[in-house]
Amino acid sequence: MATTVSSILSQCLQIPVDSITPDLAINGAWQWDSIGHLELMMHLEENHGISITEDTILECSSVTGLCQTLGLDL
Amino acid sequence: MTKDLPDRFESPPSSKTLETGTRNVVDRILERADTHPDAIAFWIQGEHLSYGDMKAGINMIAACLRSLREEGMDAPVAIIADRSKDSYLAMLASLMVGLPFLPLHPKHPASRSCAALDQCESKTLVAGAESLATVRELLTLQDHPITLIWTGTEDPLEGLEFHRHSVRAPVKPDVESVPSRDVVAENRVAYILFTSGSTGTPKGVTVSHANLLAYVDAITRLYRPTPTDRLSQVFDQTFDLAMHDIFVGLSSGSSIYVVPEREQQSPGGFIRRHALTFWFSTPSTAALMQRVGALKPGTFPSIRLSLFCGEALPRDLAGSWAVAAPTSRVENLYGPTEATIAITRFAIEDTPRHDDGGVVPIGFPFQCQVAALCGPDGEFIEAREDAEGELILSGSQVSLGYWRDGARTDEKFPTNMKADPEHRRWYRTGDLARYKEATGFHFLGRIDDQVKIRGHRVELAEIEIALKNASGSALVAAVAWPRTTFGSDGVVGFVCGSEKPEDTIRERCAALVPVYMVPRRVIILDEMPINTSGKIDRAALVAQLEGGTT
Repeated sequence: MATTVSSILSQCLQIPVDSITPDLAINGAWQWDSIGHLELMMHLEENHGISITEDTILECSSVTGLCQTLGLDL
Repeated sequence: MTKDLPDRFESPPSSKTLETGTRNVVDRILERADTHPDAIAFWIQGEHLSYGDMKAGINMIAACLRSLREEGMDAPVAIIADRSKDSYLAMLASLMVGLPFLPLHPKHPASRSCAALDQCESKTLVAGAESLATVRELLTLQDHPITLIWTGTEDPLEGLEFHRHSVRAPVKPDVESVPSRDVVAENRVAYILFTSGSTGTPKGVTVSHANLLAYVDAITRLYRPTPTDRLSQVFDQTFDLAMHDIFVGLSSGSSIYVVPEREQQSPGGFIRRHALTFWFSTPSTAALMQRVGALKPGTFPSIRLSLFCGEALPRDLAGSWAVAAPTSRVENLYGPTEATIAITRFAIEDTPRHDDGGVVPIGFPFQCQVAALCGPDGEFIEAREDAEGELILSGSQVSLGYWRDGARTDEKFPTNMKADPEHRRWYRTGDLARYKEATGFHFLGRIDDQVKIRGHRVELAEIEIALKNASGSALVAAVAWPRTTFGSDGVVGFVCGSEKPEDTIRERCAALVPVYMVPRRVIILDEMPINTSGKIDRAALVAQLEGGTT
């Protein structure tokens, strides 16, 4: 299982690791659009036990939010 | 023998004539600003913009545009469509002085935006601090000189070399220099929106002031927005549905709530916090909300009107939305950009039908607009139950055509339809439809390779040109996949004989086409399936995807 947010985003959305910065958020990379975000949320639901709700959709829409929600480092 | 144009396709005209005294939709908006300067026009990024402050901002940009026009710059005004306060002011200022505006999406490839600037011969660009990086990238690529009307504080030209661009800042004009009204002919172009083109070159749909006024009048008559209404604004400004939010809202003295990008994935909280009364989105947005459990019964008590457009609307989704917004009228709208935003409607409160395949009909045309069916040779198809054909449209909302493309305009906007005694000007939509007497038109699909991806109109041929450029292979195919009730969530590309890896090809596509057109997968094939006609066998490619063999 991925142990960093960077590895999750790289694995799930194919965002190059060196493009993943702390201020990256949805729509900040062309791979992370609305459909990409849904794919990410489904990945988090299946692999990290994050339920897809209105709140988690918003909380996980940024690198910062992902770090906080998952308790993982960048 | 072909009958006269069947009048049952045309909604009966109202006994009340359309308001014709105002030539420019901005006139009504400015009148509102004079009578109610403290009323809220916009909520953007946590801040309110009053009608009075909005008018002051419009006047500042308009003064710049008038000055430039006197210097000979009367081409369309390009605007970075970043949904900032200045982007809305710039749209209104352009209309005010009678110059068309050309929205450019900040996340589209700069090369694509430059191509639009060149096609329109635009020499003026309006932007603010939110889009500094986009502006610098554009101006670096742009050869011909651009005058940038800049509302930011940083120098947008810093670091640019060998350019001939210039910068002007909007300033408060002298009261005496502000005309009481700019005289604008109704047939002047109001805006130009570029849509995907099958030749690889996007085409600029030109919509006039008269077209826009006709739409605003129709919607206002139907739904009666008032100054106490709060309208959502979720669409990109490069998407014509955004024009509904802006011009219907402001013409009625309502307030427009710009949903932040981050909350567009899950706007339920935003709707409740701001007690929105009018909601307008694609069905995909509602479907995503349904997927995450956001459409709980009664969760949107403030909404009194919900409109959906841009994609097929599943009846069960519309029903779920109606339960979530129990005091809301829920309607499905349909219309190509060429017919100004939307031109037909269907209210879901009507008795559920069992013969619509679970998809809400697109219904009947607005008052004084006309819809009909025609065959492949342009002959009218008689109005009868279950008649099928290509949907064609006529009326005051049918736009002027394509910017500087007479041949394509003549092809898609014929005036010589067979057996039309009135020789009306029509728009051939390319959409297939079936007619039912009780429920109007039902969308059946396309006659060509155009698809809808999350509400965006996409020519697969344009993606294929990008794939060729990105892969270096001449043998490519793009297939809309996965298929959804609404159209498609994306595209899968197939490339034969390229040595470049998938990631590289996708990355290169992202530099050529908007995000929603970038293939979500690129499958490298040793051999492309070819059918007996010698063409790429797209059905075989779809079968591969359905069978999961790729």
